Amino acid sequence: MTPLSSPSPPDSDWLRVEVRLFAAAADLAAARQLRLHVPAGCSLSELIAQLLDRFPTMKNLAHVSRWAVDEQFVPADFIIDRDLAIAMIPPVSGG
Amino acid sequence: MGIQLTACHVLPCKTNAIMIELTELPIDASAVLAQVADPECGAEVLFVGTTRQWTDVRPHSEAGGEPQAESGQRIETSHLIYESYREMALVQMRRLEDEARSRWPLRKVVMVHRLGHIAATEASVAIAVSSPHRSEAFEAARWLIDELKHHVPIWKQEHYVQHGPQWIHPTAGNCNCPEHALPHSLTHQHSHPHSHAHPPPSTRQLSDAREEQ
Repeated sequence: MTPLSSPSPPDSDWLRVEVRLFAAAADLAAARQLRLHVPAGCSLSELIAQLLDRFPTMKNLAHVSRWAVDEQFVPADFIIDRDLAIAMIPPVSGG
Repeated sequence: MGIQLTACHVLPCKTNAIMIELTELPIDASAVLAQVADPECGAEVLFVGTTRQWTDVRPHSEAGGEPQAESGQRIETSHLIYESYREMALVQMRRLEDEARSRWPLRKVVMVHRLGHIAATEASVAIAVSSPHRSEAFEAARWLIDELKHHVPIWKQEHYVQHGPQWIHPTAGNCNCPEHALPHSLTHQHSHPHSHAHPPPSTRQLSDAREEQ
């Protein structure tokens, strides 16, 4: 199976994903934005798994979070077929 | 409706008054209420959510809730920091307005959420609606604040007097919202549809509707 992480520069079969982080997620990663390389056609679930390999402390929060692309929530089986930005949306607490 | 994003943090309505807003400035509740005035309306409902200085410790606080303290004890908050995914929050607030308008015959809808540093007891959110008759206005205002609390990407970090700061990510308890009409595109399945909680109630209502808690 093709490994999800890509330490070397991706070729055309790899996509660049910016992951935006907020609130406790940003604190846990000590970053507000991360860049991951994933194989074209991988699912959001696979991307999350890669993210958690890198930041295992985010596991609990990631499992209760939602995810968004283009300002809309997307399901876990969302297929990543282009370079894009994904936002991790931990349980919200506005109001 | 010809509404476009014309600035980084506000969405204008047809009359150019700002009806959906994220702001670092204090919320003027009177101005929010004045914005929904309409000669065809017999009802205006204003909801104002405020940052609570004192919070009762709940028996089942979990990660993301209040810091550990004995049940019955009260926790004092000095201030809160609110942050948002601004672009998405505006889109989602706009979507809530559209859905509310499809459910009730509303004339004006104003939603303002404050971000950044907010001292305890100050307003963090204000929602006002107007409609020809009161029942629709009450229902719509209640629905809008419930939905905002569940779906709009805004987060608060409580800064306690006697504990370190903590982001609030509510994940347990009972949800008092009337329904979850919006699709949840979760990476997990809730154990039941209402298994995630509101944050502790931090609200005060200026209308004569009752607070949900």
